[in-house]
Amino acid sequence: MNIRRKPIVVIAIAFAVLAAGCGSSKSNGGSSSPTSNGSPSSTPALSGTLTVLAASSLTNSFTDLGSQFEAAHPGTKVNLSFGASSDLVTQITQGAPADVFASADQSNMEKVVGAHDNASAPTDFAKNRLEIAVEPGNPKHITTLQDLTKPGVVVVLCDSTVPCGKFADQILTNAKVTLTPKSRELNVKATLSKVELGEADAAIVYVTDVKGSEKVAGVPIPDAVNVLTTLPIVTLKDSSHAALADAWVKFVVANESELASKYGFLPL
Amino acid sequence: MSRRRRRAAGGRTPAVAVVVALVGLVVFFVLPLLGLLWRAPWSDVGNVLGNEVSREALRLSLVCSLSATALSAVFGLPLAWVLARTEFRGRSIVRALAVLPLVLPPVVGGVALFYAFGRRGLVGEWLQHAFGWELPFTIWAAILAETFVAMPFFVITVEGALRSIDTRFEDAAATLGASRFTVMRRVTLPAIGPSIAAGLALTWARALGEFGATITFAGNFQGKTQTLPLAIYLAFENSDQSGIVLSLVLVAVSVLVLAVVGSRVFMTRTRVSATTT
Repeated sequence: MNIRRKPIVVIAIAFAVLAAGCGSSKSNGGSSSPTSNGSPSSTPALSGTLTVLAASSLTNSFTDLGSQFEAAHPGTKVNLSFGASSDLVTQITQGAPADVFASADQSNMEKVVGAHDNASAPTDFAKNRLEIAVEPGNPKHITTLQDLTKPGVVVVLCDSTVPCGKFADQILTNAKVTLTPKSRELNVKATLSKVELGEADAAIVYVTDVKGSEKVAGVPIPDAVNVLTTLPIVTLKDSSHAALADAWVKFVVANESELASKYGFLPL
Repeated sequence: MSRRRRRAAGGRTPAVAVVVALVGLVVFFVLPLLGLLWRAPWSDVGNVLGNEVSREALRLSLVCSLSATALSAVFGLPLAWVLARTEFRGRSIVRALAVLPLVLPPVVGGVALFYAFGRRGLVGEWLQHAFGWELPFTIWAAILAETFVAMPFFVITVEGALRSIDTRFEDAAATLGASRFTVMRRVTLPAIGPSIAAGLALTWARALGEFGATITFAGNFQGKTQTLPLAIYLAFENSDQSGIVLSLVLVAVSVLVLAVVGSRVFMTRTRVSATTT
């Protein structure tokens, strides 16, 4: 290659281009809204876009609450991103731009607090329980956890790394039931969808997931072996909309009874 | 970079191309890989490679991706041939169908496979009744998902090669009395040998990295359907750094294989005898 005669020049130009690229990307990284973090909530005129990271089990409820919040505060927009709590924690600790985090369990919230990524102390806002999701009409006649081990019953669970899977393991241990699931799914909605699609006969998911789906029926798990989880919510340190984030947390906490009556969460 | 003594064909490369190439190389390939290497917990490498989860995931990944590549070759070569060499109405629709998996979002691909081969699927229901076969959540589902996603790469590559080769050699062979099958075996396939190898390499690499359709259609069960990308994802879920080591294993395996294939096939312009089996 003749270019080798001028390697220094070529490499220099390449680095110059790279450096220019890096430089320019830094300059527009900051947020354009000059709201200071310590703005008191005395000014009720909220505006801006709020980014909320929430556990998959909150998909239905938070989507509705988001619309209500936007209606109550014109000029605001609530961006919701749902996923496994553990997944969201990874995003937060890796510096994903977000304002609020709502977790399906306490341990993932503790990870965020442990990494000092929270702006305030977490607030509990709802409780949840688990249930067996089966196909409508319960064609496999599943009434107990023991029934999940019957031959010919395809069971899927959440993976042990995500809260709903951890809780399912705990429940099965409590009930002294040993079963081999066909799959360990990545989050609770994926687990539920396997039953909705008719590809699995049963799954252990949250009560709220069953209530929120028209394609599955629920089989209760006895309280004696069930897990009662408490969901915490927190504002995040890197938030560029502190006032808006606080308002959202207050809004969610204030809607405790609606979360219970409409979506199947349990009051605190 | 290996210094090649031979002058590359085609004369001088314009300096601007070299600059852009360097920038592209650094931004899209070097920096992300450096990021992984920089954060890799090197002290854990032994543990990660030694534990059963990683080993089973690697084994499954190799088995599934190689099977998917073989299936892609068996079905993809005739398909590419038909697309390149036969005129029929609706050919453009068939070609669009053949590349459809490339544009389908991964989860949609998985769900589409359910609707085809799942328990309620178009064919799946019948398979279950007739043979008692249940594809979802089995290794066959993982292989099927990977084939579905990766085969288009093979078809596109080989079809392009078949369109670009000089057909006069084939005509000559036919004139000299060779049967159609002989022409294909002795003239056409050797001519597109490098492209077949390139297509196989691309297909295999894509299958190896496949995640979305697999997790949807085959699920995730350790030792049965948990391929390396799934194991990596869950390691990150667990916020444990072994995911990085596993990612590097995946990168190393693929770079190794692709480098071997590349050095043998892409660089040498010699005619390789067709060894597609």
